[in-house]
Amino acid sequence: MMDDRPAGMLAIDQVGMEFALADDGSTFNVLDNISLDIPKGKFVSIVGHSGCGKSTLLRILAGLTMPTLGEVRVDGSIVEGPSVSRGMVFQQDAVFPWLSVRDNIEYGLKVRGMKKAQRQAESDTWIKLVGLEGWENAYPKQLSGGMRKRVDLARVYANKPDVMLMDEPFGALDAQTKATMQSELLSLWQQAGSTVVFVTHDLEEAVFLSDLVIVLSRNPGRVKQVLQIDLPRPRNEELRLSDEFLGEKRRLFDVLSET
Amino acid sequence: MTEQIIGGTDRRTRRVAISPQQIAKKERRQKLLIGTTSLGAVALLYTVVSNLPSANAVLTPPPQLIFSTFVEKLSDGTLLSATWASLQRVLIGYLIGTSLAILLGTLMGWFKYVEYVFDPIVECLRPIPPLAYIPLVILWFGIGEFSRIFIIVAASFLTCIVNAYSGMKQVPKVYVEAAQTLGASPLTVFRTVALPYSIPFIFAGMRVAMAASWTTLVAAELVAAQSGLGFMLQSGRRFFDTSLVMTGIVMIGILAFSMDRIFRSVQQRIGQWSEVQ
Repeated sequence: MMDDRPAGMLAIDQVGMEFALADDGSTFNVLDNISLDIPKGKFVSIVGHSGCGKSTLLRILAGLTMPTLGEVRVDGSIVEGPSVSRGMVFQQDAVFPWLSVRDNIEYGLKVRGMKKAQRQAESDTWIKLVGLEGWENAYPKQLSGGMRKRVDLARVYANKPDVMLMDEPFGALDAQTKATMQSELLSLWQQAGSTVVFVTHDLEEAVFLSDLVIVLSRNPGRVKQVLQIDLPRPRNEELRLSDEFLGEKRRLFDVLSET
Repeated sequence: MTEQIIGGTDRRTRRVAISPQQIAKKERRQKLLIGTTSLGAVALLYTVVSNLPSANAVLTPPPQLIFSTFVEKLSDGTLLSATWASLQRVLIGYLIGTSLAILLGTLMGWFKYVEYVFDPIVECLRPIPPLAYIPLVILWFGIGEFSRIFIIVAASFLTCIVNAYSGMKQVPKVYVEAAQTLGASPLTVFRTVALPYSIPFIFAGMRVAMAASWTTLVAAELVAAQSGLGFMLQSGRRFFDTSLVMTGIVMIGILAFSMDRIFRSVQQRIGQWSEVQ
């Protein structure tokens, strides 16, 4: 399934990001000379201490922020702004409160001009996949935080992006819901096959989900190390307590705490 | 010991007898009852005072007199034609004023160059009460229908534009960026995110503008009109017909109150998605 994706390869080429601190011309270097190749179809996490620029890097991949140096290419073409081929799930609640669950999921399809019947068929599929049958006509305020994230995931996945960018999407959820959502995300990823770049500061989350974990250092944000996680798939809840899992988590922890 | 346990079990098995709907219903009933009583008390006080032997019926006409004047003016058509004249002015002026306000306010709140051009002008005009323009408008355009409607346009425009503008200013960035990454063009973001998000704000502004329109209309008609409710009030004063003045006041109250009610129910329906209503 994964190999029939036509696209989804990311090339981050010497990306740097500086913010002007004050009018006197002093700058703050958030990201410094980041170069990474992210193979298509992989699940890649970016971890690092807060302030290491991992969210900034993700926004650059999305085309929501322009880097001050370097460039990002997706399947060869330079990123110059947001695009439907790169879906984004935000840390905050981004589900539109004035639209029903169904209308939220169909939003991307609608703005791209898909016919109503086809839209409905698509949203039916995604509503089923994220387990929201019976909630089609509910409004976001009637849903729990976990259910709203499901709507958000379905909305972005329905758009069939080549790359899924996720900025600590489960950061605001309780531990139980978070674990459930991680498993659901893995099964969505396996079905859709798109590349995922997932920003988190939760090491367990990074190990559980990823093929590759990119560790960023702070001040300025640089690539410290890229770790390959060779745990078997499909991954389930049992895995979290296995020795291999804890070993990988330890390895990641050690890399992160090196100074 | 045993008795205590049994007692405890008894308490635990007691059913909750009141549902949330029933509580809400009870509260509504209480609110209505107390509200009617307090209003009734004021009416009763006025009735008693105006019927005292020492009362001056010319200054404080008793309710029965106001009522008979109301009925009389209603049946001879003067009340209805005055109401119609005022209502027409309010509606025309209000529709033009709020439409312009929504158009300009939303564009100002969303597109920065529109804001740069119009914001200073609006900010200069807004703090001035619309009533202050009446003399100027009369000097410029005379005391005709145009002047009266013009003032209502100004009043409803200046009150409504602030809400339309600030609603657009408060659209959370994450909604905009989510829409962009889902494929929405800037114009689509404006239409499908910014506008729906601002609708509750715009409606609140339209409601305030309706109240402002009535206030301004009556003032405008007091100064310069040959018809309408304000004119009726003014002629009542001129001929010392206090019960006619009271009739006008009651009629304005009824109209403004019912329009506000209509607004409130529409507002509730439109803002259903909102967490805070």
